[in-house]
Amino acid sequence: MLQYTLRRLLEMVPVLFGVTVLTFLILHLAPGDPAVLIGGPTASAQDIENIRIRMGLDRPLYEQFFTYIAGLLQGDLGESLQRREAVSQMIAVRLPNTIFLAIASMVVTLIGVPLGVAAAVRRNGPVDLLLMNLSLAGVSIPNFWLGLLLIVFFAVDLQWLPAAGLAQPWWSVEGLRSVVLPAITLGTAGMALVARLTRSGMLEVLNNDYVRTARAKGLAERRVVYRHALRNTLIPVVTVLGLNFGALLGGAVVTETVFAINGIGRLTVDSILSRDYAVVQGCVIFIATMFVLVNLLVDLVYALLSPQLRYQ
Amino acid sequence: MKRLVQLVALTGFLALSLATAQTTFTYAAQADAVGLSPVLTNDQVSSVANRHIYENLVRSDPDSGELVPWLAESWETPDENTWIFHLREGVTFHDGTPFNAEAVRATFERIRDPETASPRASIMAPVDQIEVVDELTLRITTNEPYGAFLAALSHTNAAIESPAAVEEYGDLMRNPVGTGPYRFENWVSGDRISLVANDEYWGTPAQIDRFEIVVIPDANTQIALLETGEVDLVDSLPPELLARVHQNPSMVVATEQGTPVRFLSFNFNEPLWQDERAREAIASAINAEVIVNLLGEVAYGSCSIVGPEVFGYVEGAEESCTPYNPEHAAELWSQVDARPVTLWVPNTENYPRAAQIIQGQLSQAGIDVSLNTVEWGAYLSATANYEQDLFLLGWSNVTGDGSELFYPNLHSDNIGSSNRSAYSNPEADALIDQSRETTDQDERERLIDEANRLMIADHAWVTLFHEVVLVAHSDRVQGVDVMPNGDWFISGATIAE
Repeated sequence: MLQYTLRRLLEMVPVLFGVTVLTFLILHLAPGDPAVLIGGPTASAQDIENIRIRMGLDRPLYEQFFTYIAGLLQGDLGESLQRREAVSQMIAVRLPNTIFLAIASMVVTLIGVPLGVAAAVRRNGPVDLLLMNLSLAGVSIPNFWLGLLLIVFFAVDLQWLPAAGLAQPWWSVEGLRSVVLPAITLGTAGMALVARLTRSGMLEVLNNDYVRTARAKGLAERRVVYRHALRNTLIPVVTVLGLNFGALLGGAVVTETVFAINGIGRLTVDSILSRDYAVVQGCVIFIATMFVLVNLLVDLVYALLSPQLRYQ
Repeated sequence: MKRLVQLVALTGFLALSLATAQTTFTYAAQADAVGLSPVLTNDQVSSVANRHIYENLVRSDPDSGELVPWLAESWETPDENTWIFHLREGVTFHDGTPFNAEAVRATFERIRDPETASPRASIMAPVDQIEVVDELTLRITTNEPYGAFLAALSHTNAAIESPAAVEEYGDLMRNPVGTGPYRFENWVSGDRISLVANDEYWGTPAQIDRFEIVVIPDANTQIALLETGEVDLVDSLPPELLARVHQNPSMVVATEQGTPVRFLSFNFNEPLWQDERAREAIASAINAEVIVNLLGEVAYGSCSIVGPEVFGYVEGAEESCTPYNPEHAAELWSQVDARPVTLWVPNTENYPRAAQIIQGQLSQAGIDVSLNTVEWGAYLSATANYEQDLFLLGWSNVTGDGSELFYPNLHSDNIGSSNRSAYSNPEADALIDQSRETTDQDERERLIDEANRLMIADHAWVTLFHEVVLVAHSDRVQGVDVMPNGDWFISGATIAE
């Protein structure tokens, strides 16, 4: 297991290198010039040329690339072209918000598991019907709209919860209150998806022989459902949860925008719009690392869940 | 649950009563400031903060709009290439160092230095020498007479930075030190900037203790926060959300006819647009009034390139405009070497909306137009490379001076950068040059007006509308000064507890 984990970690190196090269090329090939954007429509040709020289954009592309890689190998993500601020610092400030939001949304998403089980054991009953219709709505509702609706209802009309921002520290009452609306906004679609996945997985498993055996042994229904059936339906659910969590750590642009949360997603999009090459690179490398790590974690969880999938 | 609510309410009440000792004004900005060095930044949010932290030698008076002495108490021009500024005494920077002629010289030299890479180094381009005469006197000589110099000195980019702070930090992007009514306290990148009133301020001190700039990217959320009282002012509302603000009796909408102008122009490198009849066809086919009506409160109509709030506008300039006449447009279009045309549109602000109306109007005159909507960053580069055919763009006129509008946008010197139309007209060039070189302001006004009428008649641009500067704030706040160029100040404002 340890050897496997180490091997997987080593495999990250070429993946991340590939990501770095690709991002670098795509950014420089994309239309738009950071110097023109910093100068704005007002800048003269000379002003723009001075900005370009200062940022080193007048040098050949390969030279810029090797300078960047050399810095990266020393752990230096570089400096924002536009803001003249260290990229690592920019990411570090936003990371806690992104992690907090991701964890809170995962909690909301996980509610889908018991909901799916409840629907499956009462197949075709009113509870099943209600839950499945709600989950269809949950998957379909665009989250910016859900977010605005929640803000108007819970923050403006009832004034129960704050409308925007994440309060620090997380564990304070204010911190927890501030994350409720964004977590629901971001987690609802995932929760609905997980509920449907769990339900269909459970339905398959509940008809299996070993479940009938468990019941025949006289085990309590609760134990049959949660101990014997659920565990075997979790593999696809864990896959979805893992991918979802990886994506959440990469930031959730729409939710971050609606709730004015200072996270990685908004940083990435804003820096793409301002062609802030170093910041985009830093964000993409960070997001890729998170994704690879979460995937590795998911594979390890598989092994825990199912002995068949345990690796040498 | 009830306990929890009580607890929360109690905590909130305690926090509130602790805070009443101080007054705080919160502004919801759409984006984070790029940086807090006036010399190095150009964006709107940085400008809001910098306008309160730093000051210029001269500034526009909030009431009259005229340029008035500020950090410079007076000035004289012994000859047309020399400016002598007498600076205000007893002013100190927030770091305690004195404001003097040397500080002004250092700031202006920094703007000029190519290594600084200031986005508006061009405002110092005509300057030859900057000399410190004594502690509070500065002499600036120019290579040629620079008529718009005072207007240029009122630009945010020409605000005075503390040389001691520049020495210490290298640049003031994250460590601003100026002489203004507010000083910098803290900046959480991407989240909020906190300023506090400067107790040592040389003028009337600000009455609001704290000025918080928080980043709220979504306009709907901005209004929600204005409604809950967490935010006191917003300044970038789309027209469709204004109704919600008007419905709320505790909100005030302050408007001011502004200097920003939005226009359609031509790529003059294209043979089709060198034909005056083709340009006239486009100008006659567009009824800008429809766009103005659509935008409602945030726009006002005038077909003049130099807007009514810009220096150099003289009433009646609109007489040179081409009246709306689709039949005439169709007739002209049938005479030229017509082809299907493409209108390039930035994907920001109200441009896409205006573009759809223009497309409809042009097709009524038999002109086949397709729209090419482009992301802002790519748009700025593409239009500077003249990839466009017809295009939409705007100009904010920060200094509110007509020469400063004409020179970058329509003078042949700037073909290849800010003259995105590649417009070249020797007669207009000559008038623009004279308006920049004359220091007699009445003469300048006459020259700008003449150039304006000439270029309107020549269809250099088809002006679509001028912007209304609009801020919405809670009625707790009184005395916010809103300027035609979009700047606003809370230095003289008060806020109720």
